[in-house]
Amino acid sequence: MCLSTVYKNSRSEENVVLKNVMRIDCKDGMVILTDLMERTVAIEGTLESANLVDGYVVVKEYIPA
Amino acid sequence: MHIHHDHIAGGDHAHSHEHTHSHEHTHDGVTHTHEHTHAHEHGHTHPHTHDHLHGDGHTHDHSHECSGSCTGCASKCEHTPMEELTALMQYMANHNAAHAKELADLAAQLDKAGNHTAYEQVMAAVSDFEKGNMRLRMVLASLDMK
Repeated sequence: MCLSTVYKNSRSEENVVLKNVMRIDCKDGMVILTDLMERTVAIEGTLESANLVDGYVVVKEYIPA
Repeated sequence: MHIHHDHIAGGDHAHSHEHTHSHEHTHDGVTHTHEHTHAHEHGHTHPHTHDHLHGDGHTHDHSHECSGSCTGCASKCEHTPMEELTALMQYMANHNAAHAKELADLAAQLDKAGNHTAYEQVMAAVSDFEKGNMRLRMVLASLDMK
């Protein structure tokens, strides 16, 4: 219900992917983030965790071997 | 990682959404503010961007005017920092109204459980919450005028 900040791999300032995220879709191995201004960012990976109280989400990026 | 914008069909259409408002009333000598949510329908025009295919086979992007709302907009337009701040404040104001309603529901449960004092205190908090939200909306209105 609240907007979230999404991080890539770990929760640190340099790993912020998108702030004020209002929607997250997971499709075909992609995590698709949409912010309040309807900007979208797609990350190839999986949703690792979502803390809906503190408003943050961590996405594990897929790194090919 | 890449950024992309999907096409969303626009144009004139009617749609409905929930509309929340509050009003103050008095019973048993106590003044309360309650929120009500009901469906609200109206028509308006969404801006949109899409590819055009012409007779000679070439395509190009075609953008329509901005309606001032990003919801449902697939435009590639850039927003100013003030537009983003205003959108965020608008979101906060709506979000706070939703939280105020949740608190009022919680208060009703306290009342149902027999704790009328707690009910009154939570409803007083809801009223304070709404006053703060009203201040936010006044700021928003002043930003809209600029």
